[in-house]
Amino acid sequence: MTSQILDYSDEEFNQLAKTIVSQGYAVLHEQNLTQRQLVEVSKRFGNTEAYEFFMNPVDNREISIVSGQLTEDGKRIGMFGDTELQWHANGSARHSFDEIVVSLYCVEECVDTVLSICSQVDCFAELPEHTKKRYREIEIQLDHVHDAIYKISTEENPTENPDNIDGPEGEIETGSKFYKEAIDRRPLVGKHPHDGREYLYFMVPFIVGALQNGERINHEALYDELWETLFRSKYMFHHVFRRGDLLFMDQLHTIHRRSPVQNLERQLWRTAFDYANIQF
Amino acid sequence: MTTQISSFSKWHLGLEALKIQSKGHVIWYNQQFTAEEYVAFMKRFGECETPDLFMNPKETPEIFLVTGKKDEEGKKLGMFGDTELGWHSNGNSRHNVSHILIGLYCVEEDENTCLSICNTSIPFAYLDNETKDYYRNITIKLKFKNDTIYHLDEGDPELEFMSANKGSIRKLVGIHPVNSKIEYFYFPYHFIERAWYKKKQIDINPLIQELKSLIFKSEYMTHHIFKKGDLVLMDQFTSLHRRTPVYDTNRLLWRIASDYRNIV
Repeated sequence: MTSQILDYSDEEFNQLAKTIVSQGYAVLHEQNLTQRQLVEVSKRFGNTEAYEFFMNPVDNREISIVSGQLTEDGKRIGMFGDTELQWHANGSARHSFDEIVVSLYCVEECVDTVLSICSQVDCFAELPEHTKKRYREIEIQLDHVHDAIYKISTEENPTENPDNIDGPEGEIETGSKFYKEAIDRRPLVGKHPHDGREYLYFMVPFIVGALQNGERINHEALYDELWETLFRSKYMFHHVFRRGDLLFMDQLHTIHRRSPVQNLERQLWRTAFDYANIQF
Repeated sequence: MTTQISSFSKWHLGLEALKIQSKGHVIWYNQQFTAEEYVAFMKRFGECETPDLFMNPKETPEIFLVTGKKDEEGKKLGMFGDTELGWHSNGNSRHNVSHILIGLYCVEEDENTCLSICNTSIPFAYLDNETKDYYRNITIKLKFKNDTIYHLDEGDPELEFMSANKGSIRKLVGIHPVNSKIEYFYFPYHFIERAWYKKKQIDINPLIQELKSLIFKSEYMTHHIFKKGDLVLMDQFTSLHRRTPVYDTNRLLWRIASDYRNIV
């Protein structure tokens, strides 16, 4: 019998958290969790996000259902649809956020759908010193960009279809304005709050501006440069979810993407939280 | 500069071969090969297959082009098309499988296409002795079947090539020919036609189902999306592999099947 996370001691939770931070991710197999138990697991790490969108079950608002499945009435049961998802992380369009760990628990699998995770911390560590120095001088500006990581259908896009602003995914907003952020930029190179290692924060689709030493620079050229620098095979880990897999990702040290979904019944439960209860 | 596996000494390459056999695969990034260099490298492991088929370039017949791309007349340029490929390994319907080392080198990438590799020796090693003995006493009959790992149209030269073998009767559990400490499941289940426990024929369906759940566990799998310059080396006895559908048919891998005769 595979060891179950529900039985973990505090020390085992601390060790797991350290693995997530040092490796960028961790995968546990053959876990048996209810929604409530996944929430409990998340809360043992720390404070857990909870929203009241259509994809958050009423009894467990901390969970977001990730699925391309539709109800008999054609309504989505979860977020992120069935198409390719561009590189992103939780809180991509914000300059500051606390929930820097994401968990994904597989309820229904699709053997043809792969999650790719890319290490922003390993990439930065291998850069030449002069490049590190230049990147440390850069600040990026992030904001909500519609269809940034995937295409939300026209019917759900309030910009294109103002009479249908209640479309399920169209109502989900991100970005500085939505979160009422007091800052409008953040360093391209961050220092992780728990291990102190520096990471590139390349939130691909949400970069709307960049400055170097306070002077505005061409952020599109920076984007192309960072793309070539970061998205290399050696920094990546790929995972195809099987039922019972529980994957954790650090959202500062890594960024992730997804290939298109073939089996629309594929369903993951997603939570996002911080490490407040972990002793590092 | 990334270490180039082509610069390895014979001794170092031998260690790499041991790793491939026990782990089922290794992955090298940023490798720089011309077609000729790649062939020369794989020949350092052993003899390479050269069946002289439509997907083998004339100048480097050891290479099999793996691509879904077609020429202007609609003819296939390579093997394995662009659809999902079910679990398999090289030579599944042949009796004498000698070219058990497969190299896949990425020339053109598709970031949505994933190769999954499942180790077949670790699930066996984890079993208790009684269960091991049970499986050691099972014999299977294998034969290629169309519409299993993928679909090939009538008249497709690849179908002719794949169907040419008569099939094979072999033990479900094999001992690795190079590393006799390794036992592995030989389980290309799509092609299993019959099975026997000792001399008694048994129902293949429950056997396949129980082995699927025993072998195809997430913890035994590695998944890889090829970027240009990636080289995957897989042992065809200690691993099985599958592929998701190809979204960009420009994706091109160079595949070579070799044995280990120069390493042993």
